[in-house]
Amino acid sequence: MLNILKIKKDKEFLRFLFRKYGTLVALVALICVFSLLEPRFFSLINFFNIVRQITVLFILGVASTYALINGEVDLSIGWVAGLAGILAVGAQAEGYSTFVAIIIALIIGLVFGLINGFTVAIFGIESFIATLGVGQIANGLIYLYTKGAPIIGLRESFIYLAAGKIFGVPFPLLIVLVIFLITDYHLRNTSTGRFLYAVGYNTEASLMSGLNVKRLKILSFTITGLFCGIGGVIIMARLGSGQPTAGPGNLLNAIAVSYLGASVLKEGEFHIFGTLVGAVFMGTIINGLTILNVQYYYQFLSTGILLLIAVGLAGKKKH
Amino acid sequence: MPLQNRSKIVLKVSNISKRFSGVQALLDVNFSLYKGEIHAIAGENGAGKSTLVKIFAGLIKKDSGTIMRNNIPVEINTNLDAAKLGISFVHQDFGLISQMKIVENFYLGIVFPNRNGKIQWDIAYSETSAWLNKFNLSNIDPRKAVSFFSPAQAQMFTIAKAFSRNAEILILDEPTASLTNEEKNVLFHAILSMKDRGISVVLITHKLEEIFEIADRVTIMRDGKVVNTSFVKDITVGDIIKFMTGRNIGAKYPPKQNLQLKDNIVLQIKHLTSKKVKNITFNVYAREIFGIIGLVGSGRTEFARVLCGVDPLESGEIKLFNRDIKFHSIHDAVENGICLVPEDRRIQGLIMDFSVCENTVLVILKKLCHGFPLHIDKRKTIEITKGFVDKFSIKMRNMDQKVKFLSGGNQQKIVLSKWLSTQVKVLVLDEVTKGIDVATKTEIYKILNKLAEQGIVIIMISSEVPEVLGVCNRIGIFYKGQLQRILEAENTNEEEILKFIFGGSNA
Repeated sequence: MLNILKIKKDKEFLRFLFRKYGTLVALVALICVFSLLEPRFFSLINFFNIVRQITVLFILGVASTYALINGEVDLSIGWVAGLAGILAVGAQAEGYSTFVAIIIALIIGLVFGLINGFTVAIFGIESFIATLGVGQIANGLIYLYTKGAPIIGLRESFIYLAAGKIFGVPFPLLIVLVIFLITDYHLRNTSTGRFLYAVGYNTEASLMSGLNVKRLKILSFTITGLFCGIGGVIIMARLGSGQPTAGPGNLLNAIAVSYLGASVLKEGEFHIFGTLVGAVFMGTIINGLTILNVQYYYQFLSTGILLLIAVGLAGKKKH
Repeated sequence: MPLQNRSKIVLKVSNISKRFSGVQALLDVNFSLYKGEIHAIAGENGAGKSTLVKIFAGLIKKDSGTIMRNNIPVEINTNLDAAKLGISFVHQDFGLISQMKIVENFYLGIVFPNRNGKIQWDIAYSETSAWLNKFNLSNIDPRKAVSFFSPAQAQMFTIAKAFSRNAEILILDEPTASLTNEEKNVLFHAILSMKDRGISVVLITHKLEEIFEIADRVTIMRDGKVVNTSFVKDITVGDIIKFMTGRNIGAKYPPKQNLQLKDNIVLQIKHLTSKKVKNITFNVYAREIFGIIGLVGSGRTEFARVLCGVDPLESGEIKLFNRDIKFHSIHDAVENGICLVPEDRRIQGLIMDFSVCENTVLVILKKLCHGFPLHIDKRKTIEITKGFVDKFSIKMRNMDQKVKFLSGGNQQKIVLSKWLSTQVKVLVLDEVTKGIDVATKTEIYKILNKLAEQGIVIIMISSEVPEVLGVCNRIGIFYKGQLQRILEAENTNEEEILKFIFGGSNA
């Protein structure tokens, strides 16, 4: 009898360990497998490659995480990032400085975030459909502006954002670090950050406690939009030109990264450290498949499967 | 009513034990149910009542022990097993789909009358109506959505539905929790008629008076064990409380403040009107606990919502300490010191996934967030929370534990702490003791008493007459959106209050 109880307890403990550290263990296992299959995978050069790969995944993952924390989903991420990036490249082509181009991208992101926030918080439209609509508007603007053709004429300083190094450290790694430190701190240590969580967990109790729920919802969508703007700039800088099709494909990755993150350490809770792990996870898979010469199209398969596993692990209580 | 067929035991469980991740929820529980008896189960929160009946209903699996149905050993592993054995469990929240029609809910889980897959609606409607008529529920129109009906009607419908599946044993978990007195009487009448047909009822309840009103036997549980099973006629309320708590808790209601009324008006409400309440006028005096009672929909909750800025005020004034106050949102009301402890602490009162700490300081979090870089003052947060935890003896593992793992009473104490951490001047409480065990109820009454003494205006909304009589100095009775009458608790009694609740004479 006692033995049975003990085994049962051990089983529960294992399940607890798996839930908490499963994703991290899987990531380490993944790295081992890729390294064994292809020695080139485990090298400093490839490590920097992965860093470059995860920059966009992480930034847009953060964007998506802010919306999900607040109990909403933002499906406009890819299109808004695409539009912000394209307009930044366009500004460069028109002769504006890199600084101005980046500011334009950020403003576009903020404005679209605000529009998302208003449609959801003020007009009370479900974020699922509201952001899909807003995203289509951004998509339309991309094609109106580019007429479907890529825009060229990026300056060195713009491309530096994705390819440059400071003291041997890739610039994107610095961007990831800075964003990680700021957003992680914001969500954990400030009242606004905690309020965003509170609204996501229980909107009604937040309202009853006197929180300004509408303002908080608008704020979270605006922050999401801001990171879409940043992400858009990096996407175009990596490509070296303004590609109208470059943005939209990032949506699913961003959401997958957030959900993968929600399975890290905390069960079913979205948080920035998790999002970072999620981005590394995703980036490692994409990089590993590329380096193993697996056909590009298999990436879609792996993303889809990963997303389903992540949602399963993150638990059923969210969305 | 004497028990018939006393010899026939329809359900008997022996030595049932159950552990949940290290916690012994049930230990060697024995329980038996006669044919045609109403058997109440009493106990504090966490005593194991719900766990036990959920084992009967196949919602939880037992670790060990035996279950006998009509003297035949059975295994109940799923709710389908239970249904086959004629055991039907009526959830606290009824398990209905409120947007769908009564008829659709009636056939939920079984097959609609159909021809080649096409539903024959006329047959479905007439079958449903016929069944409802059998239970004197002809006022429930199967063509309307469940949300159209009152909670009591929905509950009665659920019970009727349970019987359409040939239930012989009916398990009711706190069936009167959201019912008014009148609705409760209708429900009890229905339960008694079931009993006359030889159906056995297991009734979990927090309201001890209900046991005496309707049950034949009562089983009292404490800490996962059965401490006593008696015939109701052989036991007193005091005995039950003693068995439940394992001690004598003394008086249920603490002594009231002695008031020299009318010496010091603190809160004045004049002609307060909104969509749901009309022309509410009354004063609250210093150190007073003002009770509000009324039927569901009488305007008692609606009044609280207007007073606390949840719903908009159309006209009227509110004066606090002789100062006019106006507000347009909950936030404004809180800034003015008017706070609402809402009816449903799980949905409206607390962020269940937040810790004890975070819930306690939620409202003052902004003030606790300062410095560069901007950060929440963790030390202060812990200090404030610890103060309340000690003062109210809140039981938990630690202050980082999520509140969803705490018992109802402890959760409610945290809702109180949340508001007391602010500069609260008026505390409006809506059904503050709903679903809370007897001992904790008394603790909460004591807390309210102390707060009133400290000068916080307490407005307590309740649907339980003994509670407002026991705790409040004066009682305002709402009826159809209006304040019908204000009575002094000293000079009134249950009958008088009930009379006014139902619209009473000389109104």
